[in-house]
Amino acid sequence: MADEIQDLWGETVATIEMQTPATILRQQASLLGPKTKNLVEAEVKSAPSGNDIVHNFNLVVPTLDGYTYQLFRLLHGPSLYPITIVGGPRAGSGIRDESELMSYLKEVLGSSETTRLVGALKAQARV
Amino acid sequence: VLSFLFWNINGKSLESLIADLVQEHEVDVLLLAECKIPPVSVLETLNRQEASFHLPRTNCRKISIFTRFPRRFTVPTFESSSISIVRFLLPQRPEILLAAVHMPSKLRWRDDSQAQECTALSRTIQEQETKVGHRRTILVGDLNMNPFEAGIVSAGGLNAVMTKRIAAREERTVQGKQYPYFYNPMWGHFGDRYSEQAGMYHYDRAEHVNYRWNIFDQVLLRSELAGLLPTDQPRILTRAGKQSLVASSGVPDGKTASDHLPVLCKIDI
Repeated sequence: MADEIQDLWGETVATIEMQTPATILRQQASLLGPKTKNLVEAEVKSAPSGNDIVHNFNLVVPTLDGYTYQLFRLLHGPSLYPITIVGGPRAGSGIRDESELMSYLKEVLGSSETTRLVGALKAQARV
Repeated sequence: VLSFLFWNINGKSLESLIADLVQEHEVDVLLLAECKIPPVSVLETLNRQEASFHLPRTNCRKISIFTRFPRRFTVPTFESSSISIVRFLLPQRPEILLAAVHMPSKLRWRDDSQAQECTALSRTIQEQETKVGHRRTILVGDLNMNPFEAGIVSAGGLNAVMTKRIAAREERTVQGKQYPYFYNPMWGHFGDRYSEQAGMYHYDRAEHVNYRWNIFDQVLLRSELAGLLPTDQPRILTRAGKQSLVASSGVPDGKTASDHLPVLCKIDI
């Protein structure tokens, strides 16, 4: 009689669900427009770069001929993490997992600099 | 349902009426011609209660477009001073191509020149259709021509016919060359059988040939979309909320609104 096969998989492998950084970034981007009556919107532009994927997180002013300001730029390989911050606050440093990505986004999107920037763009949208 | 509203507002500041129409008819895509209102003012008025409208990336001088869809779902493929062609890449719906136009006025151009311009427009649309790989196109705008004029009906022009049955044949052949049809439902708006307003633009002049009512603002659909148009669409609107857009004489009230009436079109897509 054959021995019972030992299950070597992790306990949570069946239930684990991961969100891609792109999904998280787009979710956050979609939250800005409603706060500004769509005068200032955020968008994520993703593009391959060799074996990596680059995400630009931009602020856009549609009424200002689509003026676009790059708030930050992230790069990761096919395994999603780690992420390298290649532009914007803390450029050059890394993000190890989803929880650190959320912390980084909270830090950048919630900062007084970003709030002032959105305010300034909103004012210019009305010019 | 996808809902389009086109209105030539004749350079008037009609933000409030526009917002009433958009709200009342649950408009998804708003197209304005002769709009001198800064886009930011239209956007702020439309989004007064809820930030539901966006300004797409279009940059057409003569047509302003506002949509309920975020910018990533609307991709301009062609722009000129009077034409804007936009891909609508909406989730769970087939992609469509919207061509928004404001053609030169009869006040400045002869009929022959207008017809030639339709040929150029038709060519531009077909080029974009080839580029995107489908013909689910809707053409909306102030064509400054009636549906029966040569530029609209001729094969080399817009080739726009008056019944869905004809349009369902998709194209016709003239001298060995194929021309794709548009269905032009605006034909159904001539005369006063269903409404006192026998068009959306009234022009009266003491000369021998004078139609008085004109249907310059039109919605044309390619064969594939024609079947998705309910029989009661498009509609020429005569009210915005409580305000009549028509004067006591029965013609568009150019004093309190515009000399054109708005056109609403809902498609089951």
